[in-house]
Amino acid sequence: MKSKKVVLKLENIMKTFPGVKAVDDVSIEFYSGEIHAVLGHNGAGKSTLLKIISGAQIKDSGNIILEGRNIELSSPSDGIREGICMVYQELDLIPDLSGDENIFLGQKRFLNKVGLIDRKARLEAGNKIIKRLSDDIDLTVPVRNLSVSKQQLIAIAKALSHNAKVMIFDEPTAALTESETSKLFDIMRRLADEGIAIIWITHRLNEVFCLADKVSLMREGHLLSTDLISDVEMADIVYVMTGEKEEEINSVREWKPCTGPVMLEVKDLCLEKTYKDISFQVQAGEVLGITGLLGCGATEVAKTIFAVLHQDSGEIIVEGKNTRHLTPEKAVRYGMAYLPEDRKTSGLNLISSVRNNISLTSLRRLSRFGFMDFRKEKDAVEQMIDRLSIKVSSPSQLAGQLSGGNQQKIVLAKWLLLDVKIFILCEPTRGIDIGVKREIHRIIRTLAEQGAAVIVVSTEVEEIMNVSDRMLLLYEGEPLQIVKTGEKSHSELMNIIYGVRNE
Amino acid sequence: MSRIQQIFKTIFTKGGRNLGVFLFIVFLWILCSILSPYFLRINNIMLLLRQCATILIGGCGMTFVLITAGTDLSVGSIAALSGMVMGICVTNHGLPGWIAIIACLCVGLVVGTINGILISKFRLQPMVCTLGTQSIVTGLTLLSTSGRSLFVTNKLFVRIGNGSFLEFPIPFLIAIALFAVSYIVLTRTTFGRAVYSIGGNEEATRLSGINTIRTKTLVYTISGLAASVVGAILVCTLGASEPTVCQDLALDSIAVSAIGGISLFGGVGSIVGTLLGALLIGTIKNGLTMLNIVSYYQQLIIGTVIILAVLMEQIKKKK
Repeated sequence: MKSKKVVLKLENIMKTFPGVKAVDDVSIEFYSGEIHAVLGHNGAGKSTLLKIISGAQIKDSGNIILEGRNIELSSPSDGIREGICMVYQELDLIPDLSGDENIFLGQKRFLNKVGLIDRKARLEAGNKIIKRLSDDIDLTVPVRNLSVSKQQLIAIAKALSHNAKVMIFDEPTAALTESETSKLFDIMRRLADEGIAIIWITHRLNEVFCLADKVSLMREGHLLSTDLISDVEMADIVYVMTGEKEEEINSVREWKPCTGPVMLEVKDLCLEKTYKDISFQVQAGEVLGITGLLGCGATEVAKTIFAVLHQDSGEIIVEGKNTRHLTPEKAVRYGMAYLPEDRKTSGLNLISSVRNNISLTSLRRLSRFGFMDFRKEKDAVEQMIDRLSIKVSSPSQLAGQLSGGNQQKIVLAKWLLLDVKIFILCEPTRGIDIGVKREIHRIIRTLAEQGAAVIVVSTEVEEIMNVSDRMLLLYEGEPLQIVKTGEKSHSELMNIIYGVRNE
Repeated sequence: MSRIQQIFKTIFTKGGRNLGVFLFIVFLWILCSILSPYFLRINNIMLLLRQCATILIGGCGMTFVLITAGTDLSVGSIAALSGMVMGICVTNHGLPGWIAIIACLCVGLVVGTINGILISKFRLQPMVCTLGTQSIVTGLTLLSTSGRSLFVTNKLFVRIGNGSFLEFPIPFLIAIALFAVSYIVLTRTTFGRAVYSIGGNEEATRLSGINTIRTKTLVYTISGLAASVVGAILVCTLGASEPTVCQDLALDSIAVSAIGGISLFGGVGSIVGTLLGALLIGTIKNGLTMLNIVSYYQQLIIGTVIILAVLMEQIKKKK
């Protein structure tokens, strides 16, 4: 192995947002050839820290030293120019451009004599870079036609084309299957061996232990520790980050038969190319989990129940009433609540206050003759903030300024305020750290105990095992079976979901 | 005392932006009164307020649309057609004035609602859709009288157009009343909440059980109605229905809203800003006339003010 040297050094970085110290006096060193995982709660400041490194956020004070040089970054393009590239969780590719166009986007290279782009040279250069990563990517097709994992490789190639010295990966495995994940890990390791310093944000602890060389823990804006991976234990990390032991997190409850009335029944639901023959019932007081691999159709089933999508055939029966031509508005009147998988694009109004976001579902109840009852609203919202312990400086703080976990709590609060009977929750803890995750799981269980019928859709099997009474397993749009909690072990469930058939 | 402070606080929220516009208006008033001895005379001030009236009404309607991240380019043509319908009712059919006014308002109601349905239900792009209706409505206006103007004589109209109450011209009082209603609707009602929420994130609003189609349709209805009121007021003041009147209404309305800090991306801004924007534009127009500056300069200066206002907003945001 090559000798490792410090590539990037941060000294006393500070960053304050209204009401919070997001990054508080952080000093850290990143070495070439090392994969350095940064772990922490949502809101621990790791995203902000990495945005500062990449130039997407500007630090309040402190020094960023790249290869011994003090640098000032005021935009992501400054970062890229210095060779600090970020591979975002939501890939920032342009879907209609081809692979090589995306890789060299914004670079004034490959011009021929008259100043036009030499497509052939660009494609060749693109292929040269992509070959370092994978053999089977066609750079000539628009990237929207590629799978997520291939798109990700193009995003990585884009970083390589800028001669990256530091590469930052933000939750790179969130949308990947297991085999794609292991391929990505190979690539990350190879890039490290080429001398690039790799910084890696993730919530998946077991992945960290597969791959990382070093691990840094952050909490509430502070850097708690930086250790070699061989010096730490998984249970310790969970303990330091959340103050809770790991065994508790993975506890699975015992199955008890549920006696509540059937709140929601789905019969033979079909949607072409998405799912088919989906049938199930949900009773008051139980949690039904729906899970499978990414693209198994679980989210789409949930969307159909809330009328975001419309089925080709099949019935949705709410409390004995057959619903037809539903809109989300009518679904809410039927007593349904829907937590979308992507809170930023369809769950929250980020440029509006926490208060307005929470009360949005309940405007009718919080008003008289169409006029808002501000006192009633204030009380209701404050009660919700207390009940879910949402961390806000005031109810008028903008939703966009909050961390992912707190944002998700706001989306939940919206529906708790309305007092609905059927909850449809899609990926309720995506991108949220273990601490808040446990809180949300507890809230889901409480909802069921208080008599609500809850559907939880998640591609995280552990989560589904944790919260559900029964689990509906899907494989490529087809229902496999409904499993009671405690009936099957984690590995058995994984086998079913991956389509491995046991005799 | 604290009550007054409270009022000032509400007026000047949004990071002192409205305060900035207000101070600029005060500065212009001082400047104009130094340069022209006639500027601060009561007659001229009332004239200034009268000039502000139509632009304020247009601005109020436009503010609703802009907050939902839309635009309405058809308001000028709606105002012209509304005025023309009013004139035809009185002059050609001899109907009483109040019926003519109702007919006039119906024009805005209908065209606005059609705009709204096309944009919300059929998902047309607002700018293109209202550009289309603008052309259609202008065509209808020209067809109705073969492009001629219509003289309108009606006692009620004269009283509205040239009358005053406590010295204040009636058109200005109508404008202020509509502003007050708009303010209350936007800040205190569930409808207002829905309007802001749609501008901030339409999908999230829809998924929260709000009928976004109805809300968005109503927003364009409001804008159309406001345009009709402008049309009616112009007929009353001019004593005639002109087919080519107020072609600039759409751009003026967008301008006063933009100066007032209403984001064209939707979801943000207070209608108090629109009021100040209208006062600012009114002051500039009136001041330039009082100072005997050729009216061609008006366009030039108003354009500069719009760009400066939006530019300052961006610079502030960067900081």
